[in-house]
Amino acid sequence: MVISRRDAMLSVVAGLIVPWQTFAFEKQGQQDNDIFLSCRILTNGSYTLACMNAGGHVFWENALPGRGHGFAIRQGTDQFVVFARRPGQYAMVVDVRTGKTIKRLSSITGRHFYGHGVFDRQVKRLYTSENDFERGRGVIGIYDADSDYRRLGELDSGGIGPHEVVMLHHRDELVVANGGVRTHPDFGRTPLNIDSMRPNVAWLDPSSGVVNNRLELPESRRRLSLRHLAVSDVDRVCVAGQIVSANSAGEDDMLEPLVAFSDGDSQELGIAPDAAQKLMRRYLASVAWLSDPGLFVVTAPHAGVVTLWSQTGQFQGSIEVARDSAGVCSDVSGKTAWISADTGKLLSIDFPSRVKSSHQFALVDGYFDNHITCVPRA
Amino acid sequence: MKIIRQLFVTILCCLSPGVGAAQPDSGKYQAINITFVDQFAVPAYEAFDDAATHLARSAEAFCENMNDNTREGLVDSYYEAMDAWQWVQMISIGPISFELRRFRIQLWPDRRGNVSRHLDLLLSEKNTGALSGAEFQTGSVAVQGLSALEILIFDESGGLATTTPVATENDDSGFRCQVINAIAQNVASIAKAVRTEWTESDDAFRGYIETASLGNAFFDSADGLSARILHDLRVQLQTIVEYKIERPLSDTAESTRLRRAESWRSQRTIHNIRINLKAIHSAYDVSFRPFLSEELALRVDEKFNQADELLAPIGEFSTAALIDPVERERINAVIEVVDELVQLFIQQIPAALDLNPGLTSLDGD
Repeated sequence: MVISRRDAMLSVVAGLIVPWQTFAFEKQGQQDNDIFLSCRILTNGSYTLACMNAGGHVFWENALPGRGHGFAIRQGTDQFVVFARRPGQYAMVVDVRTGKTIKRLSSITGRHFYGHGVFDRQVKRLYTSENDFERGRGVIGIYDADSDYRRLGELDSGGIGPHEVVMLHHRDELVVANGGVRTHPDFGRTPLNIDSMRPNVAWLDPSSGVVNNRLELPESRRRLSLRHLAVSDVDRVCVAGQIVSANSAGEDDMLEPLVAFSDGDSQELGIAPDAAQKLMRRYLASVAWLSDPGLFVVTAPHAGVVTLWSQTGQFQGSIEVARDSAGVCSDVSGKTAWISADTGKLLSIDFPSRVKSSHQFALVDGYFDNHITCVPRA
Repeated sequence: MKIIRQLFVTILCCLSPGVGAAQPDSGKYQAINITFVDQFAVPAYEAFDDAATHLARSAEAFCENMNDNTREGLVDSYYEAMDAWQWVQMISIGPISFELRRFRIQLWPDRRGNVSRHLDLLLSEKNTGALSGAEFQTGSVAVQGLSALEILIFDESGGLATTTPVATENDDSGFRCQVINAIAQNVASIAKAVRTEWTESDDAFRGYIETASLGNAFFDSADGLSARILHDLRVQLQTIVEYKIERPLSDTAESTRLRRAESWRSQRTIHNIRINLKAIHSAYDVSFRPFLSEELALRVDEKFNQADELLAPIGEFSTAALIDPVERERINAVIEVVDELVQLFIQQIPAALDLNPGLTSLDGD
């Protein structure tokens, strides 16, 4: 009998878990309000999901069946969903208090997950970005959270390659970053339509599937894949992109990493000034909204900076962080940004002081993956 | 072909990590990058081009006159081409990333059986027009390369023990041979294009390696490119463990899934892995090793040597080792050693070179 590396890793991880009962999610101090989730890559190549708090406690860290990516938090409950990284086929509904899997979802035949999802405002339905890969069509899967996450159907995402999907705060409308890149699992993550890609941001009515608004990039920026989104308190959207490719002649002079903004009613995306864009070096990984300073925080891992933006798109400066810092989320208070680096460290930045603090956790050796999210207490 | 190239070009500028506030020693990274290309990649693609050209000639000769000699020549040249491909299989940068060339040369892993399915369709339709150069190159990726050629040359039922060519003088042999020939010519054509575009074309890709910095369309920094090259080596190590060994190996000999193994029909699974490891070692040796401490360099060498010593007795051409109880023990030991190499490539080597492993942003999402 061969013990697989994954089995071995489960034991290792289990041995290092701090029993959640020790802390029991009871408030031990103000900073313990903030509970974070992040997928991790362990140095032995295994993939896990870790739950920590800002006080440095690790509640649990559990093995995942494959590399994980983003999260959907079911507000008001102990549940959240972690999604496989594209082109993954699993999503796990997990109890945040125990780390136990409540339900494992598998993508249906002909679909795979893109790594993100969101609950509706009534926390009854889960919407997931998925790929109808034979037809090259982006879809939003619909799952009934009250009926064991039964798949109810799907909506057209309004484009190709839907990635992050978010729900507005003040009306039932989904916002989808359609990255524009067609992929097929037979070819891994290889882009198949670079010269014809048309990324967009789409506002969808989840009850009807109607695309209420769809904003594309200008012609010169069509190779910028729009991937990640955040929504402000008043439903303004910040979208972050990344260059997928130059063409074979190297003609990408017009392309720089993109941050764009919209209130959803406008006819075009408000694109931030090029001078600020160049700072970010072609690749943006995550966006978060911090309600107290009223800023969008965008991570630029290649440049080793986070950039700050007002909700109308005014550049508010940048802060140096470790290279490959990809994940960002707001704490519960909306005053502190938490940033994860694939080097395995967590950084917090308080506002308005912009003071940085580094945080250590008793985690198995490894690295944080693309995203980190903050879980409000139920 | 240019249109296809533009359609399918994949590029790595977006995947390379840039510099932070402190400017790294770009001279060191430029040296790493250019030696990797000049002393490993370009010679390796030249060898692949030579082997693929030989394969094309052998296929032609076989189809003109099917006999034991030409059949043997075809099998030998197939081995030669696959060996040369295994040597460069890990490289994701440069002209190989254009026009889906990697997949057109070898579609593996093929979880959904696309190669067999599309090949069956091609053989059943017997449409010679589909085999012409342009038609073939823009048709199904699945039938264009070495994966399909292996099915045509090697007998499925003999997968564990024999390597009998099946394109013999039966009713279908004429068309089968035309397919063999079309694939061989196509692989040769791709290999030639890759070789040319690295160093000989007007816009040779080597130039982008030399000038990696802001403004370069492909690589925005020299250290980012070094990280990308190191990433390719590390990913190949992980591919060896996760896809080439663990995926077919399973927990017990009885549950081993041999047909998940790479090159199971031609019995080259272990042989391929040995080539892969030697290639990674060779690429690392010319590019990264000179910038490491002697202690770290020796640790890395020791692991590569251990892996090769473990693999050598398993049998050069045996896929069946995966179901042999004794050999499985040895293969599990190989997994451990390669895992240790992965650690070195994720932790110690990047740290020593001041490179981020780029686990998230090198294959961005």
